[in-house]
Amino acid sequence: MRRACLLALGAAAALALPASAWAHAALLRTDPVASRTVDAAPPEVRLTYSEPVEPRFAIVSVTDATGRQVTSGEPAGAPGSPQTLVTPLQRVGEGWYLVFWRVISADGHPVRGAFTFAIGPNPGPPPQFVVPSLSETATTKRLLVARWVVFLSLLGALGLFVLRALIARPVVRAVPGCSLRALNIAFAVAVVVALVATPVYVLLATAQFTLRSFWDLADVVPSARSSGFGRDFLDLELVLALFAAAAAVALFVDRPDRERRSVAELLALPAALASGAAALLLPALAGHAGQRSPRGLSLPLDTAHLAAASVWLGGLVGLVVLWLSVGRAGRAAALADVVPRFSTVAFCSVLLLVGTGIGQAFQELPTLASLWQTSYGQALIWKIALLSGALLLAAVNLARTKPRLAARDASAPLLLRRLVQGEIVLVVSALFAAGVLASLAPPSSALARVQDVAARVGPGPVSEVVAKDPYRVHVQVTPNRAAVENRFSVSLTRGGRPVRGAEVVTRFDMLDMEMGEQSYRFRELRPGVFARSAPALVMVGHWALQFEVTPPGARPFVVTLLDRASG
Amino acid sequence: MRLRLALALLAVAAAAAAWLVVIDALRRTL
Repeated sequence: MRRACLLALGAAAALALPASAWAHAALLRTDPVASRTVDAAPPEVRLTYSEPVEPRFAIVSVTDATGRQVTSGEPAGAPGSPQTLVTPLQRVGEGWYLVFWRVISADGHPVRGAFTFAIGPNPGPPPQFVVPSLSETATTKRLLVARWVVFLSLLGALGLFVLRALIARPVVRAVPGCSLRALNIAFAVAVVVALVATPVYVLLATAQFTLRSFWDLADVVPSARSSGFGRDFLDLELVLALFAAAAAVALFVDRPDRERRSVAELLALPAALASGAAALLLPALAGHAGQRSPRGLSLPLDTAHLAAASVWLGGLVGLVVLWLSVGRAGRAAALADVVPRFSTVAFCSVLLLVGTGIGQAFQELPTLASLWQTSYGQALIWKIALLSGALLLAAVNLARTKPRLAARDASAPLLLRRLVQGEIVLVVSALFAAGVLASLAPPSSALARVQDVAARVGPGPVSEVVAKDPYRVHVQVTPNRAAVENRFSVSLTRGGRPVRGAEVVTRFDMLDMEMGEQSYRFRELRPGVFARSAPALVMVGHWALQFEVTPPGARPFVVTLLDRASG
Repeated sequence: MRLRLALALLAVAAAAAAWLVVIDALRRTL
């Protein structure tokens, strides 16, 4: 009873949360149907995806057997259905045609695919089409560096503001002659860099989506707001400008030499902090957190992660700026005042950073093994390793330098600066790893469904015999290439004799990115031989092929192959 | 004194505008 109640509660919770989002646009339906022969030439090709796609970033090419382009216009959105792309065709005759498509997913990842169809009644044998490359990455060097600079300047600016307005402020009254001017300047520099870098990053990404040069500004600029990703980052630019204004006011009206804050200060400071928090929500919304389900959990986690990182990073940079700007005479006193306060805040933000990071990893990684088996997991390991190094230095600072500073040890300020600089280098590198993470597709949740892999096969034709006592299953896949029709067959024998009347259902899962599962029921062609021809491997990469076999009157069993399909 | 107060109110308005932009972006995505 109790268990049933719990189950019902769980089901209710699952229903209350937003529906699971597909991380990437997947092609759900095509018209004409892939790999089929139609009787009359279609006037257009219709492609329906799992999420709305922007026609301006879409490429749809339809070529005949000789490679001649037969489209008569650009792809356009179907009226009333933002998920569907319609591409008009010329009048074409009998024969085989290759459709190649490329769209941009909501989080900015490009996805490509291809399929063939034939116009009959006598299209002839299918030709060997040359399929364009079906893999494309969002991790170009330029995009990675731009993303890194945006993250660095945004987090640095917010953290410097927090240090200046909250943590370092009392030092002015504690140490006579100490000024916070240098921190104001460092904050202004970081904000200006962020304000310049953000639109440059959006334009670089848009140029990549539209396969144009960055300098082709007349074409790139009008498309910048066409992708969900571009819209979110241009909104970030606006919010950042508003934050810059509010923060400038807060610093202008601030009088740290007075004991109590004035009404103007009490209005401006929370306003600046609130607009800073708003700026942190947008990168979360534009990235993977905005696509991950449940978003009610992933968005607050990601925003808190960014806030903690900004307080840590900006604070460290601020400490070095303070060290350099305060004269030798007041340095030890100023640091002895600021460092203990910053240490406490940094300790809390590091705890928050690690906690939210672990929470996000649980959400993103379907299995523990995907941590080292996928490139996404490997980038995460790098990030964790770099942050662990920074944490080690922070621990030395907390345990050694802080008490020495309090005791006014003469060597403490220099030790502090060296350690803090080392920490900054490590945190900045970890931020680069975070930028790589944001550009990679998170591992597919299908990884969690794949268990008990019988064999790793491909690229190239597959012929694999798997023993499942008392049965033997012979699986064949030809030609095992992406984007074309493949023939899948399963021969089931028991004691050397074919097993008739079994039920064979095969599930196809893309493992390199989130794509949704396809499943096909096989037909028995000969006694014990079950087969199906299907364009199931729609992309180059790793696929889990799960053959679920139910022999008559026996329990079903599953044979899982890990296949690599080539282009 | 009045200038400082006016500026502070401006900062509050900027924060409100920033949150309006974020709420709009959230509405678009969710």
